Amino acid sequence: MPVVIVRDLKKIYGSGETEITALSNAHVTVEKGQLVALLGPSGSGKTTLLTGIGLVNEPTGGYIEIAGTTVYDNGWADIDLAAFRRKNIGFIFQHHNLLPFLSAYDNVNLMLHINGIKGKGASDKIKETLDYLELGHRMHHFPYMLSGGENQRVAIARAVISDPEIILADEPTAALDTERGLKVMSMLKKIAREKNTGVIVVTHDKRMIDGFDFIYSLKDGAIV
Amino acid sequence: MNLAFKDILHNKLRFIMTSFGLGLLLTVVMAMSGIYAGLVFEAGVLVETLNADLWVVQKDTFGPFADATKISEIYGSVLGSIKGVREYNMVSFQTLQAAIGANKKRLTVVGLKKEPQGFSKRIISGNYIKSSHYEIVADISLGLKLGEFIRIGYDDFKVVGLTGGVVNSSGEAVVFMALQDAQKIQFQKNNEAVRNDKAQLKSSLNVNESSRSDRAKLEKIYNNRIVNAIILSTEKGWKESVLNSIKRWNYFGVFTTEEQIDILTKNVIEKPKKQLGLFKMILLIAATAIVMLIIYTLTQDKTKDIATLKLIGTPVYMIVGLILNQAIAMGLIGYATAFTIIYNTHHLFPRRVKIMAEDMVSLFFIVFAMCVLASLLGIKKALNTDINQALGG
Repeated sequence: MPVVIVRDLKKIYGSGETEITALSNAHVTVEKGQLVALLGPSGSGKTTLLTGIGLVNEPTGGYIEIAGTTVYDNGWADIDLAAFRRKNIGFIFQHHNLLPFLSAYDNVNLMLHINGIKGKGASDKIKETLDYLELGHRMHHFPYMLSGGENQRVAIARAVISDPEIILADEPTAALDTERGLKVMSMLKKIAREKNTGVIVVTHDKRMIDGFDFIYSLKDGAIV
Repeated sequence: MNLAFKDILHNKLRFIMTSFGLGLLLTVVMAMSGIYAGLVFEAGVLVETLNADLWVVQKDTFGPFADATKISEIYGSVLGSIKGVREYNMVSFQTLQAAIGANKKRLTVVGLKKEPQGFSKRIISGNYIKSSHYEIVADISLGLKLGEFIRIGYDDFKVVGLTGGVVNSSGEAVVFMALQDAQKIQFQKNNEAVRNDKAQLKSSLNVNESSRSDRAKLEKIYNNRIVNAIILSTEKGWKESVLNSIKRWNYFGVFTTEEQIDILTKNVIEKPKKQLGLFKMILLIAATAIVMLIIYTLTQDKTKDIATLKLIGTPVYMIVGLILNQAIAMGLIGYATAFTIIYNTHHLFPRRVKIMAEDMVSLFFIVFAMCVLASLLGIKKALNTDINQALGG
């Protein structure tokens, strides 16, 4: 069952002589439990596509459906985009983007907190998730005390803790060495399979393409 | 989860040092309020200590705290006999310099015909003057001890009582003594001056030296003593009536105690009040600008964090709270620091710094409002942060 359906998605910046087409007629379908890559060089439109699916930047036209809800149909649907993101989409960034003043535990807890999940249930779930990502022993450490790979796994924990329908990862291995990058990718695959979540990864890192279920290759704003 | 609190805990030292700096600035603001309250208190304390209802002074003057006013003491009994007057007292004031220990200090000598009602509550040690001569009640700020002698004029006076905080409007200690002693000091002349004065009086009045009655008249005129004011205590409900009676006579100026305090505060502390008020306002504006700059800088440092918070769907109130709570926490820590400093050091100031509860409460709310105002720029910056800043390197 598709968790993400993208049809004829377009993004045009500027107008007239300064008009630039960043994305044209993109079609993407992601099934539950699937690990999908958006592959392409810089400027190919992969991040534009990702930010469209992530309800961050408004496309110029097309259609986006996430978890059965039409979120964009030639214009944003009449929904609270921030609330929808909070509930249905998990984000992983190139540089973990953990809050430096929160411990690993609190960074993960933040996601539950903003979704209104508190108390012992929340605490158990955080511990379970951090254990699942082999970080149980580091949960009270702050980002500056953790390695790049560990921080990225905390960021993955933050993205998955509220059981989103999809996870969007923007170059999650770009700042890691091959060994740590592969570990992160294997974690994402494990999450997609075991939690039945659709995972979309933007990457230009060809070292990481082996484990994907499907690869959308982009060039000059079009899927090729 | 309070993000502001977590951020503060994580950056404890930086936050505490910043708040301490703000606290030092607020200490100056509190000191300004305290100095002003001290000026008001000191301006009125002597008038209040004398505990009169009405002040009768020389016609067309504003009383001893504003003008050189003189009134003959013979009017005391006349004024005391007005219906509704319970008691009258006569007062003289003069400011002079006296040697206290190795130092010379300025003090105000107040001569009193009798002990004012309620004076005992001002005495913190010893008692009021019991002998008719050469005893004083001095303020403790002079550093004198009971039983100690000090020389004022040509005489030595024994300290029989100590008051706590009875000073004039310039903050100089007040010494109370018998009216006759004070008059003696006030009009003290050497023998040559006495002879000259008498000769001048004799010639101007055309006194016949051989006439006994003329000589007696001359002595009476010469010894007619003057005071600076006659103060009256009235029966309950009679103040207005007595005041109007004296005004109708047209011989004297007459003021209520409240009017005397008003004259004092208007004449003596009006300018310092404006000066301190303006200085206080400048400091508060400076403090607001500083907090605003600090909060804005802290917000700017967190641009990527705020973009991430917005991207993951953090409600706006949590992002606003992150900035607002920090500004308020900074203000509260600063306020607490300032209060602690001023509370423990106000007695070290050379002049009275009076900590007034209402000043402290109003400053608390001003600081609170100042922090809210200061955080607005940071909040605006946070709300305008582009989510896209969370993406990319």
